[in-house]
Amino acid sequence: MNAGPRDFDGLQDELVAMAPRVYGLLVRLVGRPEVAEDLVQETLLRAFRSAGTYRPEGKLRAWLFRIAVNLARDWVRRRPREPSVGLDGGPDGTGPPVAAPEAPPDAGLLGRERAAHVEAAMARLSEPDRLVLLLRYYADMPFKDIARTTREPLGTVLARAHRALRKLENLVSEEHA
Amino acid sequence: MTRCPDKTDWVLLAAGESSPRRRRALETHLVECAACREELAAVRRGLAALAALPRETPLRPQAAEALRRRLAVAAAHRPARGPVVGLVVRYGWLAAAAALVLAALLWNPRPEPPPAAPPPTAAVALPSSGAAVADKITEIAAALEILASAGVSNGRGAGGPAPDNGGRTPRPLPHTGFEELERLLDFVATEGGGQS
Repeated sequence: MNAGPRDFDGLQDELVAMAPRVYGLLVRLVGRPEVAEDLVQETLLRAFRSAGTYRPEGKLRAWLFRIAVNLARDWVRRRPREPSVGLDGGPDGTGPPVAAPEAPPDAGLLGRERAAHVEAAMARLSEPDRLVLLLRYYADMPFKDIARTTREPLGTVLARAHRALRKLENLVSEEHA
Repeated sequence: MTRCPDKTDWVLLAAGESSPRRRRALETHLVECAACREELAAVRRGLAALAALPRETPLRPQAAEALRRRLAVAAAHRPARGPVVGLVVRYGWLAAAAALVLAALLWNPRPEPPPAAPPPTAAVALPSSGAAVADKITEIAAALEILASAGVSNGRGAGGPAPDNGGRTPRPLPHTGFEELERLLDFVATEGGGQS
């Protein structure tokens, strides 16, 4: 997963291979597939163009997701104001409805149903809380790296994770009850 | 019974990020605290729910194709070497031109006027040949600036974001820039050499 500053060969393929994960995070974060597609392209292009400055001791995936989150944050700041936007530190209410991506066709009926419930529950989390879970799940980031990415204290990130996981668990349980 | 830990401790434990020492302490507490066992179980159920989401969400085919195309364009414009070497390659020709100008001036210094009778404006006005060289240096600097900005679209500035023009051939560098530069450098070399 690591690439040195001059290791351009294969980096292009590696970035393309990671696009579905980055897109998975972005589409659940910004809630608009067409915007998420633009952002994932910009993320990978920026990563590729600045690969010369990338240091092998870092983790490529974490670096990539950091770029993605920064771009998403910029997009949130630039877009026409909507109520309940929390990614840039706004209110912690639920965000705008998130367009849930379809579950893969091979997931099975139960799997698709459960995934749809979880998508709906995720959409009801505040954006900062949702971002913590998304970084944990899609970027496999340890919480201290998530804190670095979101520029929040570790304790705040852990509190967000705890609140989000409990709410997610409650919402999904209610759906199944 | 030991004091109940902070709830965020259960997040770290469930995520496998507790230190071994902390984990042992938490597990010891769990043996004697049903409330914390339930807390940990709920956090684990939340993580398990998260795992129902597909790890990968494919881009639409046209978006994936656009991504590959844009990466290919970026690859065609990327510098072939590391960042430091790339900078040297990118701006080395500018440095070489500046060095040439400097060398021309140093090789042909104009003798200082006699100190006993300095002209009234000696402090601010260069001798005529020196002023001509200075004018030409100013012109060269302007020409270099034009070339540097034109060089971005000519692949010389590949380190920055390449203009994504849909894979079309980059705009060619205007010939007049190089011709002007050569003419100016010739002037400095010949004029500077003849002003002793």
